[in-house]
Amino acid sequence: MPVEHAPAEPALDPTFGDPDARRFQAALRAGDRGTVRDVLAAAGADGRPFLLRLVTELPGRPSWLDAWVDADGTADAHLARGAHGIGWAWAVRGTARAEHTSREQFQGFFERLRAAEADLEKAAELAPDDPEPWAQRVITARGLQLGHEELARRFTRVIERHPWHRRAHTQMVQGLAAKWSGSDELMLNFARERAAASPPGRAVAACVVEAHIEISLTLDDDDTARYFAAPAVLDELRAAAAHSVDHPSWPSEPDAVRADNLFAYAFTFAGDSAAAARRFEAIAGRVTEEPWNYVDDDAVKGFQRFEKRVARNVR
Amino acid sequence: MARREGGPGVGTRAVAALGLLVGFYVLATVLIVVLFALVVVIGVLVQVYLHVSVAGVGTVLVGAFGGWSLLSGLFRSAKEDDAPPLGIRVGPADEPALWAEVTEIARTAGARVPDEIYLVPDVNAFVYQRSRLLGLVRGRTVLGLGLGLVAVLDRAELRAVLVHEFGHISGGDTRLGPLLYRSKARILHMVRALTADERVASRLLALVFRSYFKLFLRYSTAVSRAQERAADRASVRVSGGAATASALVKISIADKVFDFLLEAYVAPLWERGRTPEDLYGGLRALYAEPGRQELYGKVREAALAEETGRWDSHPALGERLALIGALPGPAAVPGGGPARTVLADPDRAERAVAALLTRAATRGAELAPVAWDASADSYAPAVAETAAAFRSHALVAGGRWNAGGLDAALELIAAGRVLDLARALNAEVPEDSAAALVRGPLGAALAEHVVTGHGGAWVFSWAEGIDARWSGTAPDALADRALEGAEGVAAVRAELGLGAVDLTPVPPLTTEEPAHAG
Repeated sequence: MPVEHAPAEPALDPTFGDPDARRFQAALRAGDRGTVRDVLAAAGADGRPFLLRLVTELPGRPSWLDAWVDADGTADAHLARGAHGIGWAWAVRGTARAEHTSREQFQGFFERLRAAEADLEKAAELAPDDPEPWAQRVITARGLQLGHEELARRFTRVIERHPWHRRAHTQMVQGLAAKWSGSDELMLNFARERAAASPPGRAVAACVVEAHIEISLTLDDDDTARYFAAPAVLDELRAAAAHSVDHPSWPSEPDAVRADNLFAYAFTFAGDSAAAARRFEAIAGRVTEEPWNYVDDDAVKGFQRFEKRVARNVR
Repeated sequence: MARREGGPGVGTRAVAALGLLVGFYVLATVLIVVLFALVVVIGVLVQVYLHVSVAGVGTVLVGAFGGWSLLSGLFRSAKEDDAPPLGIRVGPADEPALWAEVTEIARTAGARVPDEIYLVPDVNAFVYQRSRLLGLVRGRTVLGLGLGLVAVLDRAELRAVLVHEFGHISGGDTRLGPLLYRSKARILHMVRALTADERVASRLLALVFRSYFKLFLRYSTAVSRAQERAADRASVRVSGGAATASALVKISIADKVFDFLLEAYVAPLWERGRTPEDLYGGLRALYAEPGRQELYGKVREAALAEETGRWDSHPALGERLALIGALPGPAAVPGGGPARTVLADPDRAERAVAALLTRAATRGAELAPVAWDASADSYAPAVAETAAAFRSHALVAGGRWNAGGLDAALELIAAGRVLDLARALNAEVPEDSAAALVRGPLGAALAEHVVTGHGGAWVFSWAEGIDARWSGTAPDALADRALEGAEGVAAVRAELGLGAVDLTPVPPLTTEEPAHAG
């Protein structure tokens, strides 16, 4: 597969260098809600979740979000504020596990999350065909601890509207993980079922890798390597790659590179340097926070370390 | 002095217990003074010979302060003991009939008429004297009368209880009882405080005091039990054996019923921002509920089978009833109607005490009153929560994200995997308790299912608590049926129109064949 992106200095850039996303991000930072509205409205079904993620990551609580809701009250205004509320909620909670999170932190977390939930409900009501409010509500269901049945109900609403919604699948893998009261079996069954059902060239098959990475997080480095190198797991990684990132119809949409990052990580651990090298090539410096933050507090450093290791082995 | 009621030896033991109590304070003071004098001496020596003045002075100060804090702790608790009970104080003008009865009974029993009467929330009555001078001098006498007790007894039984309570403060052998009781509580408090303290000196002191405490306890509990027997004798003499015995039995059951009422019926209302309009009416109804009498019978059997332990302050119920039965007394004392008729306005008193209990338990939360008959909808959310949590756990145990929780639960049961299901609820559950653990939450899930999907409605009853009623089999019976196994599950599914679900694991992706089947 030819390399489409010029090799660049590895960096964490949530826009992945996409011009529309850059413009959107600049508008977010400047509080230019007209541009935010227009870019979001013009984006396709796979582009919208990517842009909303930029809204979620916007620090603080910009007042223009409230002003937008008050002035327009449109589905997208509520959707944007709801998506932002999720990131804002997690900012007060922190990313530590529940037992290391204080009562005050949880209180603030739930308060902000419930406000986000109200916005997302409103957005779903105003735009009944849009999968986005439901995809965001897959995330709030987890944070609000609404249980796995409710999580499944919301995810079903997403895939009724967009069967191969990347972000909803990723969030579902998280929601079914053991650390969120699910189990490895439940998470793997979900990932395999969705991957097998997906048409080739869809990032949904990367769910399988995501699930294996999640399972491996409880292991130390040596055991992680053994886990991924086990024939059954490695074979499944390859099958998932063939069905997605290695497939000719793999899309060039900017945030599809997230799947490449996951495969690069897993193949490096598995010792399949050739497969890993292909992924690093496709990534072309567009580093995602996960999974590299699992091996280094500085995700970019973790990425570079793995990339070098693979480069040494393929030489 | 021991001849009249207490039987031989009780008086001697009481005096010995008093001696030990005084000895306790002496021992405590001496030990603490010696120990910390030692610390001070060491501190001074360190200062003089090593010239480490700052550290030396510090040691002296710490030693002196530590000794002082222990000493003051020992003598301080007197004030805490003296707090008035949680209740409503009523004077003769508020409750003339009650005061008249109490006064008469106190005189009959040869006890001082109480100085204060409190109406308190629980199923209990008590008389105590406020302590002065470390419990050595008698203070004001306080009667606490639990409305939970008043709610279930008749007038004759209430009299029996009151006579018993005044037996505790009447003269003779029993005079030392309250003193010993208070002292025991104080010493126990002290030993606990010392044990919890991290300092080595405190630990050592705790060791000494604990041994001493055991010695003290052997005398004091014997006295305390003798005192209970004496009080029972007084009861029988005045009120007759029948009323005394039935009061004892009723109280032992009503006490547990009241706890159950608070836990199962009242607390869920509080959590929903509501409170029962008529708390004690609830106790009367739950206590009298025909559908629960069999259970209460078992509670009584269990209480009767208990034996008096070495450290018990009261003789066991069976022993007391046997004693009461053997005593002469008036043949039949008329019941005289419900005990609550002794109150000027029983409904108002109950409301006031219930409000006090509620404020204390909920820390003054804003609560909307609700009638028991109209309370069903207040319990429904809690059942729904139990059901939702169960379905979520069942879904995880089933391992398939898109199998509904109830469907997954039934499938697991049908496949003989009740233990997997139970372990999802509680990872520690032993195998033989799995079905019992699943039964309740499964019943809740089925109840919610018939309400949301089959036109059922939540109903409230004292026999069942909150339950869902619909045209078909009762939810709990459905749960029992399902837990019989595959056949039972099939019957439940047929009645509810539910289908089987596939819980077989999804095979891994493989490079052997195309990953995309369709």
